[in-house]
Amino acid sequence: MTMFLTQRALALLPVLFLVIVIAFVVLQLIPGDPAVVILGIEATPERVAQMRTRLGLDLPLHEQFLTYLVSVVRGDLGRSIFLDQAVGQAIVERAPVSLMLAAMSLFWAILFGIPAGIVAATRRGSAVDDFVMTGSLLGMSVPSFWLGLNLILVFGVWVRWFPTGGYVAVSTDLGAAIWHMMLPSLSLGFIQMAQIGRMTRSAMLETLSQDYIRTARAKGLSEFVVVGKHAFRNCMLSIVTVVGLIFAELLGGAIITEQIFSIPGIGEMVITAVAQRDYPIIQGALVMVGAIYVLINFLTDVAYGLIDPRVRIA
Amino acid sequence: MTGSPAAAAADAITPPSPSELGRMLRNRQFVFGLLVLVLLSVAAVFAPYLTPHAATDVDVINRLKPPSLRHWFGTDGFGRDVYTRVIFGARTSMIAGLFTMLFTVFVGGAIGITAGYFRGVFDNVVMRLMDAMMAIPAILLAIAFIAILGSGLTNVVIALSVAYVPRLARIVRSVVLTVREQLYVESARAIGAGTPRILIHYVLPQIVPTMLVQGSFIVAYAVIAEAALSFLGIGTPPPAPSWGNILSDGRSYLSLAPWVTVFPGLAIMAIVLSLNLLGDALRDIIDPRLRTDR
Repeated sequence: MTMFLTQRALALLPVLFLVIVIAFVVLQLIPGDPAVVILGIEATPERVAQMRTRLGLDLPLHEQFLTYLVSVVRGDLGRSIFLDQAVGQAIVERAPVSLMLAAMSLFWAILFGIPAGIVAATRRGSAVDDFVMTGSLLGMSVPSFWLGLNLILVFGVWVRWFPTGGYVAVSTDLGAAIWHMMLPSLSLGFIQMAQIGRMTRSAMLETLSQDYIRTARAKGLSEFVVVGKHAFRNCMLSIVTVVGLIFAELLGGAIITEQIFSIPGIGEMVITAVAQRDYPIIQGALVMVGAIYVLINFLTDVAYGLIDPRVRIA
Repeated sequence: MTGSPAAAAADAITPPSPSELGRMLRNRQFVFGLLVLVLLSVAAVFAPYLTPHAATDVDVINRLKPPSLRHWFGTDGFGRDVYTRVIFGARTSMIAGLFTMLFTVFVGGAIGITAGYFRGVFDNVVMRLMDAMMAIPAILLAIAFIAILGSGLTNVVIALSVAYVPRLARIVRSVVLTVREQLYVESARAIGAGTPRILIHYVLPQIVPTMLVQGSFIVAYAVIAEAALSFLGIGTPPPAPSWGNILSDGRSYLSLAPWVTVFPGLAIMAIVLSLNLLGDALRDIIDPRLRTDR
């Protein structure tokens, strides 16, 4: 298992390196002088020169990259121009907010998606199956931001069950934190619920047609044991893969959901940074989210090893 | 799969036979998806003839009016006709979806074909770069590129294409890896066909079905993403109508005038649903083994 995990960790390193390269290239792709773009054309030559030094643009390209690479590896993502704060610190302050939103969305997606997929597969062709498949198709077609607006209207404004926006830290009040995240997480998790439901159904149908399932039924096991123990365990690999990918997608989707519900997460910071041309923040967000994705990939591999002994032995 | 290389290539590039066309038309998903898509496309193309109003006509006396015979979808905060803005917004969405798809299919297809066919160092380097780009959520990568290029429909198309190219390249590459090992490609090589000829005549036709299916999904993703970026205020700039910026305008009057947000949202849902149905149906027709309703 250790060997397997070491191999996987090493395989992910080049991806992380290239994520840093992409973040570096972002600044280089800006048409014209990034310092002028940030400060505006009215900026004095002195201020432009200062900004160029601050961004490291006065160095040759290869030195710029090496300096950036070494800084990122040391955990220094630069300094935000408008927040007047270290980018790393700004992201670390907001990351728990975005991660909580993504995690709660994933929770709903798994809670409803997996059982729906299993029930649809075991009752293939029935009205329940049709309902799940139609519902998931509609779910995959609803834009999460539009769903968010409708949830605000119905549950926040009309029936007033949930707050329409804002954020409460878990450390302040756990109950209020969860309460405030209900509508954002449901709107963000809905599409993923549909994806997980479809994926689970498809994986279950594949597994339920296997010989060993027929054998399990033939030896008189109850349907609950056949589906829950024999079939579901073998679907877990496909489901874990999708869940890993979905978590990364949720981090992207959170950017928009945070805007709708006024949640002070990474997304809100990035959108403000785009308006203010605060490029160090955008670069930092790319590196950080890329790193989280790589970490999730690694954890997915760990989960493979735990679920399926063949993976860790091979 | 047919035996000779020429026949194999011809298989994939000839128009659908009457029986294939019949199979498509018997597929309810395909017909429904196509019908909705055609209706929305007609609305987008003939938008000026389908409404007596202009998309940017301000009428402050009639602001926030509910749906009526005069204003089918009501009016927004500036008194602009929401129905008119929605059908003109369809143009923006269709352009974003179509051009993102074309650009992605062209660049992603070229990368996927060359990486999959040549393998080796080129494949390794390019695909690791694609992996790294895929490590960043598509919408965040697109936002980063808009931060560089600025907002506007053209830049949205470029940014979204950059975000989707790696996803398509990876899928195309996996198909090419199988195709390049086929006997007819080997025999084409044996009879002295050059690499460009093999790629264009023997490999490309085999990945067209995959690109067709993925293309419909890319249009759907791009429509949602364009709307999302415009909603965030970094996509199509107002007052030009886009479903995203109509939603963004309507957000301020959500409880007062829900119709401003309901109709553009339904339009996005209808087009994405139709594209998803088309994509699923095409996949089922092209490769019945991948049927989602098995």
